[in-house]
Amino acid sequence: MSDQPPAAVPPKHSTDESPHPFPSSDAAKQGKSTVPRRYIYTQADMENFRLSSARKELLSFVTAMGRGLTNNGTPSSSASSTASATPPHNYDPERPLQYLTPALASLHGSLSCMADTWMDGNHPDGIPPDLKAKARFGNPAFRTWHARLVRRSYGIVKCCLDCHRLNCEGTSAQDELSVLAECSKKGYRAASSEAPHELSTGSSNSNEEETIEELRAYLHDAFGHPIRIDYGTGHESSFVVFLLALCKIGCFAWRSRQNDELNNAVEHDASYSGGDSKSKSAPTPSPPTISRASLSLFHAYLNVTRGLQRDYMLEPAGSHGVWGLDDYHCIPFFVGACQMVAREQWQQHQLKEQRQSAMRSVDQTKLEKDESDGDATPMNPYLPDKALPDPKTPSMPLSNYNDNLEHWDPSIIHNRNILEMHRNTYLYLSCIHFIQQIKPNVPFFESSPMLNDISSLGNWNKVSSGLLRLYEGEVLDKLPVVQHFVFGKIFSANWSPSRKGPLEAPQWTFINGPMGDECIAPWAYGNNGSNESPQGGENIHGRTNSNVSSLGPMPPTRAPWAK
Amino acid sequence: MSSSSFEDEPSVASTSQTSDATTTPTLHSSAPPLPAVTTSSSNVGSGDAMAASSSSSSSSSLDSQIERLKRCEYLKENEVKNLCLRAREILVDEGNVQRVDAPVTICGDIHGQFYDLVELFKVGGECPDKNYLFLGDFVDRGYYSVETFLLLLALKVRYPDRITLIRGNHESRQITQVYGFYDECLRKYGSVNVWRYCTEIFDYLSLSAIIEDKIFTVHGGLSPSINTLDQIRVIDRKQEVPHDGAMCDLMWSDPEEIDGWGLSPRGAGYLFGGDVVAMFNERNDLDLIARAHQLVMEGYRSMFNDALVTVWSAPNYCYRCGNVASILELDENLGKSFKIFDAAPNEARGVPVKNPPPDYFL
Repeated sequence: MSDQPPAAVPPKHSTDESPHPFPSSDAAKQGKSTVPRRYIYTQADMENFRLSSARKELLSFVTAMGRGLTNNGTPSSSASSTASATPPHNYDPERPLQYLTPALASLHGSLSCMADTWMDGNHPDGIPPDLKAKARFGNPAFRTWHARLVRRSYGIVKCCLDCHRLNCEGTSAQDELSVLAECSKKGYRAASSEAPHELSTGSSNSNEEETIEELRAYLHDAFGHPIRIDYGTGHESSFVVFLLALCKIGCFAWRSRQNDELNNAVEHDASYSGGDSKSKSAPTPSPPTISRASLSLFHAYLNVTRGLQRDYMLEPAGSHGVWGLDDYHCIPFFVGACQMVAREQWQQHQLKEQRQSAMRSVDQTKLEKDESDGDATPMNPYLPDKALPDPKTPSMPLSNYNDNLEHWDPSIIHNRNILEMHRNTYLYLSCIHFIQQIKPNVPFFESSPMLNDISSLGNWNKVSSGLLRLYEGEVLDKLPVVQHFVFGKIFSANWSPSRKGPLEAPQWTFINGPMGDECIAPWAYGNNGSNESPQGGENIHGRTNSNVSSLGPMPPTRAPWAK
Repeated sequence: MSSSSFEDEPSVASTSQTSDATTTPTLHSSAPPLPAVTTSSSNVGSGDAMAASSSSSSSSSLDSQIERLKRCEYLKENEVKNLCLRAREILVDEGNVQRVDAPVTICGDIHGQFYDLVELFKVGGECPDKNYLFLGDFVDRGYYSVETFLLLLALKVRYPDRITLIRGNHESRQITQVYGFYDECLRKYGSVNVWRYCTEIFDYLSLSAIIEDKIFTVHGGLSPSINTLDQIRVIDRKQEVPHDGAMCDLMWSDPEEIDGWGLSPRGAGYLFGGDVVAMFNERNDLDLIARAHQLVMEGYRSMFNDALVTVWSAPNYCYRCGNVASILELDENLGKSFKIFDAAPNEARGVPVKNPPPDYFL
């Protein structure tokens, strides 16, 4: 018995006719069926996703990104450890390419270019924020930025694939490093121009074009939503899906001289349980390979996303205010925590070495195992039971980093000197440092209570395990986040979505001017930038089902972020 | 009658915290309206006489609660329940367009920034020395939504004629589950009971206020379904904020430099232009619409030849926006003056409390 007069539908506003300045990935989907598309609209789709090989694969990959840095709770045997001891950083800010492959070096170069030149207003190629619109969250200049991404992504992705195809494993490490440097430069150039890709050998076939289109779709979703001008863990996940897809087509390894085709090598591709494993799978790289490459790439990726978040004031998508982990990110905290675990393990290892040399005759077999609650995941194709030593790992002189490897427990984040000194090396510290940088005038516990509470956990294993569970619970299990995932052939969905086609974004709701701050009705768009109601029962504007008053004091529709 | 959330119920979320946020509401989705006031406001005696005596005898305890809240100490769950019951008695009698006398100080969004609210009272004067009108959005996003809302609510109960609270779009069950207040209650109390008490009180908050018949105040803005204040007066407001319709629009709409009406990028409410405002003000014999709802870096912003003003009272919004905040003081002749203030300095903010880690980390 609402006393409200029937809602008069206001006339559609006249400034909305101008189409969006670039094709959204949704729009592109309509053209070709091969372009990745959404498969998650409703709870039923969500259930399919929950059981799918795609989810399993993504989670496995994320797990490997972190756990590959650690020795997975199995302390290396004292016999082999001297030669293969993993340096604790797993990442050297001065040599970011050292653990990459030609394709990934190219990507690293592209990300560096984006961070260096796409935002900086002083750079001739920069896209400065629109100062007139400074008054609100969400600077519309980000739309220009994203339009550029869509225009240049073809060159960026093509360059990755070309670098992969054209470079075989070298004979010497020196050769390989110079190849990587060259690929990085090419990637940088690919991101800095809209000219047709210069590397192209003309040999790209329709298969490769299809792959490029799929990879582009993941990349387009990896930097925030151009209409909503927001960024959240869904976008971060899209970047991981992009990496996963590169991994599946073999780009996390050097192409061996024997194999001319991307998809020739099939040594252990049986481990890819999901998708169409027969078409595109490449051998699974070792976990340290995945994780060290990811660490380097995430440093480069965060240089871009942080610039976007800061310069264009991207709204935190689906933010729980201060009560979430972070306004924007989750995975770098997990990977960073694993890097800290690895550092602690290395420190333990050093201590053990010292003790061993001090008392060689003493039986050492009873040395205490490092406390670990890490859920070992034997089913994970990226994590063999025991991490193999990586023969390519060069030793890293620790003295260069002022890291004398004193014990750091998670409360080290409150030490500003340490943050300042080591943020370029340790991803977790870098994330904390960034928060303090953009929220300088507030106590850390007030701006980031969860990170503050985590800092009192006794060890990094607990931190990393908890963060992985949090990623599952708050990202992969949340419909408002994963509803925006797109699936193609490499990262594929094995169910039929409950809707045939995606609904178009309501571009006509955007009236000129800065939008984006403020909170957006969760029932209107979901949390992450689409126009679609996760319930599926409402029309695209969420403007039906409104007769709440007759249904009691609780909302009749469940919260859209409900499982 | 069956129970409401004001009767004790077991904590539903002690085993799983944030991940349970989504299932809890459905457990209580059939909760009926609040019980009759007299049956639940006291456990001694019965009837109206008892209710009156109970409220007078507890005003000293209310004063001490206000003192505690001003120190940013949060109340016990049972104290919250009783406070909400007493607040309901007062709020239920208020109109959808609550009448407010000048002089009065108008305040915009607070969003759980407790120490900045303390700063606001320093700048604007204490309640009840000054008469206050808050335009909603007390909760969400910030760290101290519980303390912020309870302080304002306690002041309302203690000085009902010196402070007016109207409802913002964040005073809603659905929104608070997305933007933090729900998580905060769970973290601070280990259960969602306090969230339930507070969100039930949200349903009783007035929708708008009118100052000396000349200045209309509302959280968001106008609605295409509303031409006259009388149309607001007949809304049945005691419900969750609907997804559309007049009540929704009042809390969600935004002014924009357009003609007529536009669809809102927020997905709720509308955009309305200067012509709409001019027409509304003329039809209702108003001088000004004062509203909040949108961050303005300079603290306040006038639009449409001073026919509308946005007042924003959360400095350094979300701890990162770097904006100043403002309050709008109206004297007895409705003369306007804005006071600008900054976020409370780091030193003036609270000290960390040792919390157990979230469930994911156990």
